Amino acid sequence: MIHVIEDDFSVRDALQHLFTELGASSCTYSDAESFLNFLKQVTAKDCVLVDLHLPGISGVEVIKYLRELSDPPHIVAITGKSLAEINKAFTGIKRPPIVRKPLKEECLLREMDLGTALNSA
Amino acid sequence: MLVSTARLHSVLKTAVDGIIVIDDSGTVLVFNDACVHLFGYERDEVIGKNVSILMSEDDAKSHDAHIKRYLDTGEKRIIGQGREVSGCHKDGSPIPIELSVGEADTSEGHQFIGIIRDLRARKAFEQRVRDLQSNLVVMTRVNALDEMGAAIAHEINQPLTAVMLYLQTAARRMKTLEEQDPQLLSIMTRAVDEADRASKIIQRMRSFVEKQEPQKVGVNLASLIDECVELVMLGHKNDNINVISNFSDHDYNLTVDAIQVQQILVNLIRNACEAIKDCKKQEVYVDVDIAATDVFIKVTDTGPGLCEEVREQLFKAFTGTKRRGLGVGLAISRSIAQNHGGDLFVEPYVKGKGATFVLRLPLGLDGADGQSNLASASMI
Repeated sequence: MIHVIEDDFSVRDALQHLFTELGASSCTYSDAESFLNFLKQVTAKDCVLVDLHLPGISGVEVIKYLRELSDPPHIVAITGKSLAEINKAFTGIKRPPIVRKPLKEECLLREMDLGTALNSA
Repeated sequence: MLVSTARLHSVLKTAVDGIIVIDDSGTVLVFNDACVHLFGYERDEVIGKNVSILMSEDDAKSHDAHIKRYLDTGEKRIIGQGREVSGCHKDGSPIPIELSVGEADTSEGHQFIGIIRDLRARKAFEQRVRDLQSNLVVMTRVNALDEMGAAIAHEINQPLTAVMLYLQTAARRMKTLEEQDPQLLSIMTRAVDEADRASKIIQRMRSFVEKQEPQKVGVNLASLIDECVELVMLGHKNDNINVISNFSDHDYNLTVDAIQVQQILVNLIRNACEAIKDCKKQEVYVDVDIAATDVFIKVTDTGPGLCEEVREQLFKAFTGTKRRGLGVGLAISRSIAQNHGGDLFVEPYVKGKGATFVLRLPLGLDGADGQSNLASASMI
């Protein structure tokens, strides 16, 4: 399962279409709060695609929550933020793979562990 | 008579303003201590000479004629009213002064008394404010371009991402269809290439903006705020608006890009003044809260406040309702604040209260901020 947390509707929708086309099942969330409700169901077989710039709880916070899980999933951050902002957001925190917007399919798929996600579909 | 002479002597000696007395031929009779200081001449270098040595060349040429014309016609040109004129220092440099002239009929004949106020400090201050203003204008333009670039890049990023992914997904889907359409596929591929071209333009814009880091130096926070208030008040001289800074700790220094922070504060205070134009009570307060890791600079007005819907739109570029300007002021201000590692936000609406904008700036990690015994860094 691929979890997509992204506040922009079009980006979220486009990602879901792409994953459906690839034969992977995906779930989308418009903010961190609604994703965290499902946190317990996330397993190591999942892939979580999280936008860093979310309203409310930030993407970096979500990443911290995910890493505390006993069985953490593969995490990929997506962002339209500047390099300075990314550096600041991850001060003292290990970075996951980061794909900067505008997203391209090949860059995204390179960073996602899609083998796992596809198998679990 | 002796008492009054002593009294006059004391007045001349203590006066902060320059005092000169001349007779009806322009000859200097009195030249007080303040004049010695102002013009650089000793008393005996001037007493008995024509007063024109203290004037600019043009005024000096016509001064005797002015006195004569007044004595002949009684037509007053300067007597009884102050005027800004240019004096001449012993070293030849011009001195901006305010001159008021009175007259007296004495037993020794008609005499004129000139009171001279030194305007150098005021002129220097006015020049400084002008420099500061033009500096701000230039910086605002440069920043507006950068920030608009960044704002556009950011805003376009989202739809561009969606376009790119939709197209790539559509192309992918087409390849799996039983009935192949090579021409349609080629068109799709070209569309993806064009979206990619747009992405590269955005990336170039972004990397250009990313090169520009703020120039942080230690500045005195209280002086910085005072200068912002001064700048805004220049535009509101004739209004009843009152801007009050409640922060007066002149020993407190902060490491920031002074011009950028000033831009934000001037923008906030100007907006606040605009918001209270039609209000009964027209006051704007600037307060500072110093917390463990951040400084909060708050600008509060006595206006009607900002309702929830407006607050959400405020910081988006190009949504302003003002006819003047582009509506990027707050959007730019916020991104400057964020570029500093801080933020800019509005406190929630409280009925009956004005709006409060809060600029958060992080304290430096190097311990340079706070009470400082260093010669307080001036901001310009």
